[in-house]
Amino acid sequence: MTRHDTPVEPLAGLVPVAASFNLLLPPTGWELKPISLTLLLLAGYSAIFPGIIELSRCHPNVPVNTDEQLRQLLQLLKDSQEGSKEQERLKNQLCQLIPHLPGIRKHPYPNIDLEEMMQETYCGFLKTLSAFLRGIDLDNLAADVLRTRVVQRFNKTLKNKVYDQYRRMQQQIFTVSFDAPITSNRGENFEAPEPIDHTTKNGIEQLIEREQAQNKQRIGHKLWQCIEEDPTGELRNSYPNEKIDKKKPNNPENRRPRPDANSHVLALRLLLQDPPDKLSKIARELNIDYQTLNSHWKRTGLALVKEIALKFGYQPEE
Amino acid sequence: MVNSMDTYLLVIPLEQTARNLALQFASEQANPQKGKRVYFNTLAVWAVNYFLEWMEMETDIDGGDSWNPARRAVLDVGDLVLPGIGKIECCPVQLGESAISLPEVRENRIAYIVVQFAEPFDKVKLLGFIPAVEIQGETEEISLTNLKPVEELWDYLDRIELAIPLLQGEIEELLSDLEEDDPVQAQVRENLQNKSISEIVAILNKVLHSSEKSDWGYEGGKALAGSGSSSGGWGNRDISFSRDKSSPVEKASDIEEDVKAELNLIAEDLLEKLAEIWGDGDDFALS
Repeated sequence: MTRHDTPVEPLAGLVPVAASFNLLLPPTGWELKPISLTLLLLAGYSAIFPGIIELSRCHPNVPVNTDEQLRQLLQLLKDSQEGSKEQERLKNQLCQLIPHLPGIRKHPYPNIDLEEMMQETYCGFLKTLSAFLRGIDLDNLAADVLRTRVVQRFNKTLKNKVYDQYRRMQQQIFTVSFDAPITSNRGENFEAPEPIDHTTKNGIEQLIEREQAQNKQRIGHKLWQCIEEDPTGELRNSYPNEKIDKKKPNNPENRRPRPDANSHVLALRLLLQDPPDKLSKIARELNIDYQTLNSHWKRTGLALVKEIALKFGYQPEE
Repeated sequence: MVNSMDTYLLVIPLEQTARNLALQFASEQANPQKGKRVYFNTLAVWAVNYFLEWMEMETDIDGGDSWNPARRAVLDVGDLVLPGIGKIECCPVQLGESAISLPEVRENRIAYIVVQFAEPFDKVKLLGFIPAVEIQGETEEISLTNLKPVEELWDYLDRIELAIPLLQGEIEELLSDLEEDDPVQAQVRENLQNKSISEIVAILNKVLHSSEKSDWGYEGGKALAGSGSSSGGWGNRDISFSRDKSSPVEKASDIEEDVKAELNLIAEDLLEKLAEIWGDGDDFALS
């Protein structure tokens, strides 16, 4: 909603309250000073919300700042006593405000009673509101960011209800094309020459082989070559030390190197081989403790491979 | 555990854009076998992302290893980043397979979601998921009969997301109170810092679901210490935490016991706070 220059007469009940706090501007005698809403709220006149919302329904250009209303209402809710009548009243006001927040989803869904879904959504949204509010710093969060988070949470809850409804009806959500999310655009310009049937296993295998044959500068090919050759020996020179006597402390005298279980061997068998070996099988074959091997691979071996990949990723295309 | 085969399976249509992208990624690989793995990994991630975006979850598909040309070329990955929460690993299976092999890279994973492919490859089914905390360190395969239904994924992620801001503050406060030159407190600090906040939330969530309230401290402390639920060895359950020792030099075993006791107290306190915000005891689920 946007602010508008033309003032609109507030609800009759609001005028005496505003007058008592000297909040009316002189020319009209009924136009409110900009600070009014905050002051009225601080004074406990939170009941004006339904009035303002009602007013905004009648007059679309009414100067209503829903973001600020939302923040103040949430603050009151956060401060209210759990299960109190006051809290119930504030929750009702929140439910009246929510449909007016920009971004709230109101799309129809096939075979779904949206009104019923919305009612269920309000219940779900309110049920976890206090948990949601505990994770939010109302004092320091910008009003529009706060509104975005509330709207996201409400929409998420609505979608969950819609999903659940389709599940109960044993109907698929995505069988018809509606409400498709925005997805990455990459790949749209990649046009494989047809015709190979991409919906069969054989077709996909053919397509992949054809595309790989055409792609002479495959990053995967170069990277695998680099790992296989290990030109600097960084993978081969990385290996675990195992305890000689498992019952004794893990000091240097009680450790021996296991160069046969080096990161190069592990990378070849765990990453490059198809199908890959299991680490437990390699540990058995090499007669090395699984935990020792696993911890070496996870902490050192994989980290080295990722480092190689990272360096490779930054190399310019030839 | 619920056998997901008995429940509603969500079907996601695969758009041409997705198939083209998967083919493009596959074409960069070293050989056709690796190309095929990348092809199905890409489509699995795309499908899960499609569903989560529809569910209004914030995702960062470009931020994962599966969308990084060099990393996907060497690692067998299907990760999808959920900003502020962690990663979901999207695991493709073909119709007829009864288990998935867990990938080598498991860091920062909060859940594994299984995506089933069958000819014609114009759609996939989301079979279910398993929280990462339920997987023991040495597990290399997950049977499909152990999956939880996809509809529970929402509540699982929601619980983690709601609890992260609370625990972030609590853990930061705890860490700032722990003295570095005290061996017990230094060890406790290490235990806490070795895990991401979402991992701690997931660990405590599991404890909360699987333990009596009277055991929260013991089970939670054990889980925070990093020992799996199947490994025992915590010794005396009724250890009371005390930093005062009669001997000036504490034995390693004494320090260990004190660390456990301290973690028990921390876990109990955090679990009580989490139970409050999650409203456990009530029907928390949004569905």
